[in-house]
Amino acid sequence: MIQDLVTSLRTLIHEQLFPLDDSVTESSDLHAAGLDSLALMQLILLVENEYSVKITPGDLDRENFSSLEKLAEMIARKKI
Amino acid sequence: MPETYAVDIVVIGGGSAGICASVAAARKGASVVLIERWDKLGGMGTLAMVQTFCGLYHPDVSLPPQLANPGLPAEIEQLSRERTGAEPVKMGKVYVLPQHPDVFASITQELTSAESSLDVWLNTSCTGIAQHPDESFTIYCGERSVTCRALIDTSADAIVAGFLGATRYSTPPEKTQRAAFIFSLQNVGLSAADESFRMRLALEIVHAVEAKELSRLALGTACRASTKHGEIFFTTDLDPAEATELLSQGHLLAIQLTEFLRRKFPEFSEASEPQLAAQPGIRETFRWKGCYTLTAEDLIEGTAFPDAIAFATWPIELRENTKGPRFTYFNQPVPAQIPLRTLVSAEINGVFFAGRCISATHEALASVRVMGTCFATGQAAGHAAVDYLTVDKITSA
Repeated sequence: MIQDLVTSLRTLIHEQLFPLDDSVTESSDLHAAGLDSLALMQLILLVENEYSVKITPGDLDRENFSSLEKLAEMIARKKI
Repeated sequence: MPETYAVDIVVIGGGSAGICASVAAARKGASVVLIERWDKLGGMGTLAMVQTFCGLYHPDVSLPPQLANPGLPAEIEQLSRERTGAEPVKMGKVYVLPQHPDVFASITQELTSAESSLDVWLNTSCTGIAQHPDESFTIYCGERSVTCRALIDTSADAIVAGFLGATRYSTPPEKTQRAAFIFSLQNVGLSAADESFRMRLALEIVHAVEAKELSRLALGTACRASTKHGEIFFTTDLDPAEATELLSQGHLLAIQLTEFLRRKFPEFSEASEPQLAAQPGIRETFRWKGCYTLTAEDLIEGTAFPDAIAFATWPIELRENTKGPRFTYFNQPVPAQIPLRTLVSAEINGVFFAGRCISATHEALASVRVMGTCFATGQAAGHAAVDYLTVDKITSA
């Protein structure tokens, strides 16, 4: 499930936010790849709409948005 | 009664480039009139409240910050650091200098008033320009006019090309760089550098947009630290195609966001009314056709020019859509050369340009448009205009 989420997140971010080339792995730093405060807003919007989850202030740990894998894990936790 | 003046050089536009062009020319002994349509100098750095000087430093961030261009760019950097107390900071793969619009307004005033052969005409719009058979110019500003032998266009919009019927370029609307509207709030109980605040702000804005409490335009909001305690700057992202409505859109958004911040964040409950920029932050409009047009390849590959007169250091920063900036860095972390020919008209003798209307492609302009580089091209155009008057001819390679 996490792997599927990572794959769909990668496609979503690559197509709608900023380019993710092959050097960006599931554990690479998303902030370094281009996740600034503008992109963060777009990412929250995309994640909420695409996966039908609601991000709360409690989820706003830098860690949760640090990599594709951490983001996928957070979404998976919220979907249960 | 109409008043007529005569000087060596007229500079049109008192932003970063115009200030440096006029001061540099005056320091070389020329008599100069600087024409500015607003009530203060500084352009984007004061009127649009852009609170960061980009393009001042060498692009190698593995080294301590080093200035890329000597002369006025270095003087302004020094004055700004002394007055604001802010030092250069690393932002990703570049150094920038945080600055304050009020401080920059004072610096521009001091630099220009120190030159006895430089007159600044504020609140003055250029209403017409003619070139005479002896190649001198008359610049009409309503009832006043001034004649000169060399003309420097630092208007950012190549307005001189418009008046004289010379070629000027623009970019198709769908690729034109996005505009910004900036405002500041004072008496705020936290710092914009606080990362947990920035993340919470992002989330609250998204939820307020989803709940239709804020306009979708709010999704382009970014906050920036001020050099003044208790103040935060907010930058919003706007569509430049809305040219005539940019300011009113920006004002409305600033008022909405202020109200929203006061409601959602206790640290903003005592915040001031927003200080609104007088001008939108424009990144791209019209540019001149020079004897050479600078390209992205020149910057990325570091083309060497025999007539290099200034250095560009800022990456190519394209903001063509709402997804935020896309940066392309130079291949080597060294300053890229800007040749004099990009500041010299290919069509009209005696016309020079600097700042955002130099002869550059859409992509190259995305690097050279920043204030640090505008200081440098301004200074170079000021020197080139004096050389033109002295030798009466410029060698265009």
